[in-house]
Amino acid sequence: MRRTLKQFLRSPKVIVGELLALAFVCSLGAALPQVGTATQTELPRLNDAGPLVTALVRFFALDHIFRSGWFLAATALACASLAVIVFEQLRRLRIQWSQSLTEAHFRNAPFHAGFERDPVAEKGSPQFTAPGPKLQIWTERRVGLLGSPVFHIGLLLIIVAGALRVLFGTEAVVDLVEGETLPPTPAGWAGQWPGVLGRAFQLDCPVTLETVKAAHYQDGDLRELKVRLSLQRHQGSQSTELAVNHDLKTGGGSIFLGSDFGPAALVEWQSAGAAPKREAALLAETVGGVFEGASSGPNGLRAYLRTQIGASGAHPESVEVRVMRDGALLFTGDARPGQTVSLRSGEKLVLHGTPFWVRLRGSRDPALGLAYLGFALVMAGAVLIFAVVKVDACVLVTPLGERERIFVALRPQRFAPLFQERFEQLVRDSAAGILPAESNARPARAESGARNLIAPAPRLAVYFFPLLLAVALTGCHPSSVQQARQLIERYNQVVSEAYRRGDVKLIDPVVGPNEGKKLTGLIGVRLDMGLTLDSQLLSLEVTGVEKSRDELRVTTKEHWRYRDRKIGTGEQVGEESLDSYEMLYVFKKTGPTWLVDEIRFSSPPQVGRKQTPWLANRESVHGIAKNTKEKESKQP
Amino acid sequence: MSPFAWEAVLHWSAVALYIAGTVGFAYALLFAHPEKMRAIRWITAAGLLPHSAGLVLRYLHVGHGPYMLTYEVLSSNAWIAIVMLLVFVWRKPNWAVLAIVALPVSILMMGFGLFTNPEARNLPPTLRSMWLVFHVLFNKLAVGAFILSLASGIVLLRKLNGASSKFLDRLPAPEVLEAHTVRFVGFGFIFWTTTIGAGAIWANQSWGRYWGWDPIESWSLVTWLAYAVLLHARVLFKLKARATAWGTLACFGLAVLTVLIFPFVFPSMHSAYFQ
Repeated sequence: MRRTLKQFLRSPKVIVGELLALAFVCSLGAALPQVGTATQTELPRLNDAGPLVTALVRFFALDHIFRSGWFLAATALACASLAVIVFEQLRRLRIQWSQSLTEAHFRNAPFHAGFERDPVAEKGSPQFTAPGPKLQIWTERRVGLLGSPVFHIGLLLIIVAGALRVLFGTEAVVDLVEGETLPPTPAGWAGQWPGVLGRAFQLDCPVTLETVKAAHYQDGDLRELKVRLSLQRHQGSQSTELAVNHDLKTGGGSIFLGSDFGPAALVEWQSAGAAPKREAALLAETVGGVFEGASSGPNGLRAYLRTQIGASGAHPESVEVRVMRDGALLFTGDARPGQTVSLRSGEKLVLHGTPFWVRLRGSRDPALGLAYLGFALVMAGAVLIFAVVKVDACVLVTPLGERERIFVALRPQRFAPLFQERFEQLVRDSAAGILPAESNARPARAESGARNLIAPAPRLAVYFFPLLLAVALTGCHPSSVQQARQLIERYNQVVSEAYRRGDVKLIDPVVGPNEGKKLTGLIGVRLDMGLTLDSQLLSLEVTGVEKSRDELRVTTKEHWRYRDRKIGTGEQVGEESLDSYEMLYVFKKTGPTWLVDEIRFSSPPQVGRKQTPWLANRESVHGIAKNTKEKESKQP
Repeated sequence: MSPFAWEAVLHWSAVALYIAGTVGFAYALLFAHPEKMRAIRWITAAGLLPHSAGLVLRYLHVGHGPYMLTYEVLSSNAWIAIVMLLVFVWRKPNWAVLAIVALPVSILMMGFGLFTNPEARNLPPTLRSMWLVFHVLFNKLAVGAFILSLASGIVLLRKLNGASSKFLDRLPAPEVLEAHTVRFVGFGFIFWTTTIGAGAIWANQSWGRYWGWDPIESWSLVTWLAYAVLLHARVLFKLKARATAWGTLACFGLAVLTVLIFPFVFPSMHSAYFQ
């Protein structure tokens, strides 16, 4: 039963179904007016939309979806699934983190290749000295495994924090006038919204609103609002400041200052034969800097009050008063603090002052820290999922007489198609005998289960420090390297396109006269043979730059893929070739432009295919034909 | 000239350069002129100069970041999207085809913004928070990433539908395109998550609660859930590239509605700051 329930909760259909259901419910809640967020006119409109709609609203609690039983049930089901998944992922993480990788792990790897090579001394792996197969397996960016579990744990924490808030949290609100003291009791607050199991909000000591300081824009809009509070604790009074977006922590919870504020008119109604009635009429902002309110007096009297606050933010010096009864205007005029307005009917209205009022919110959330931790984990998890991908790699070197058989494999955890270049680099490094320098690789027998895990080096260090070192050694600026790289990329792009299209005119903007003549001839020869060259630069590394005023010499390491194709049909002729070169480019400055003057190999090229479908050799394809003999003589 | 007149001139100059960039990209890709791509990238990047100047002038004029008016919001969203596009295309020149979708979308955003009311509005005290800056910044980054995912998704669909042209042929295989589309979605998802998180922290700082089911809050959650559905369905049901591309387009539509349309339709605390 328990197992069936777990299988149900972690079933893909259930998980996606829960997400869809939550999305649907939230969209309903967002589109329909909801109690608490809708305006006073929207809710009646929803309920009066017809008998069917009214019935649906009542049955499905459509006007308070987020507090309905079925929404809570859907959330609880999703939460249960999440808990099962988190548990499952943590179990899997523990296994994967300490997994012993063998060659078998790479048999179905998305990237694997086998080839032979002459024995070479591995650079960076002096440990490979014993005879027999040599196996090296390592994992990069293992921390990527944490992504999904961390993300889902964060979500779970947010939901748990939300549930705890609903159960035990409390919110309260009160409007306070300057000079007024808020007692440390729940009754002091005008409104309370305690959680299902929560207690009412109350402060741990009386709090007096001493002053309100408001700053305004020129047109009267509120720019800044601060209040000074006095906390009357047993050990004495303590003055503190509260501002918008800066809460105040007290023993009972936190107090927040909203931007609801304005002047209050302290009015006293006097009527013959009745006790005076005192009231603080809170004036609220209607348009920039103008505040309005009203006060009800005895015998059906009602005073409409209006005043203005200037950019200085000072208390208003007077209030515009209009007293009415049954629609009849009895008085209109300005009143200053301390002034009395006498009506013909005998009643009096006294304005005692115009202090400011502010709205304070109280909140207690026992799980706020948990919610923030959840947010942090969700963000960290999402970053790990999409930006840090764990990669397993394997290089197996097997002696094969006088040669060696190399098996290379790469297994990314996610986004496998994006690791093509990384794999090709690994193949090139393996062919050249370059193994990771920090490897603790050791000789191993095939299928031995040898485990050789390398601590992942920080990517920044891997790429940044060699670059700095190269810059320091060559004495060139990063801008020179960047410029050199751009020039070579452009040259390669243009020449490749010229070969592909058989169009020699394309090369004019990038080559000088010497190189231009050679390339023109070579492209022409290929055209005569009915072939075009489909070439793709797989990687380019600038290894050195020497720059003088009119000459730029750049050495590179390049990796290319070549395919010969028939003109017309595009059919591939012969096998494709993966080649590695170390090149020297010589650029000459012609006017404002750098043009390629000469190109040659700086070390013997490594050519993938053994047979070419035509007679020209690799040098000629690159326009390096003139020094062929010299190159050949240098080859081992 | 008034500050807004200068802003308008700078913005329209940027639009003109972006249009030139779009035309250039289309020409270079359709007629296979890769050697012109570099110049076209520079033309497009040149558009960022007047665009940035316009945004800076706006900042100096109104004294706050671009998060109060439709005009400011759309212009800055377009700026972020174009910067992200150029950074990506600079790193991967073969992906220049994305510009044919992403640039017109950005131009449309700017154009729409330029025809809305540009009258400066004051920043209320609740919006004076560092968390608002994070909230808005990550929202713009999310929109930029989603625009790139849209462009990538459209190109992927074209390729899957058998469309062939010189520039489509230069793009990587559909599985690589699909992986990049999902990665764009993933980065947008990260930024969107951060937007919601920063907004929640800011709300708690202002009102003592980090979630209030405000309509736009809820729509942002719906958008987040929709992207979560897409990402989960892709992994759990091994969605084909075509389904992933369509899902990306649908989710982008929802994100656009949430960011640009719903604040005008549903009364919300967000709508007060975005008109």
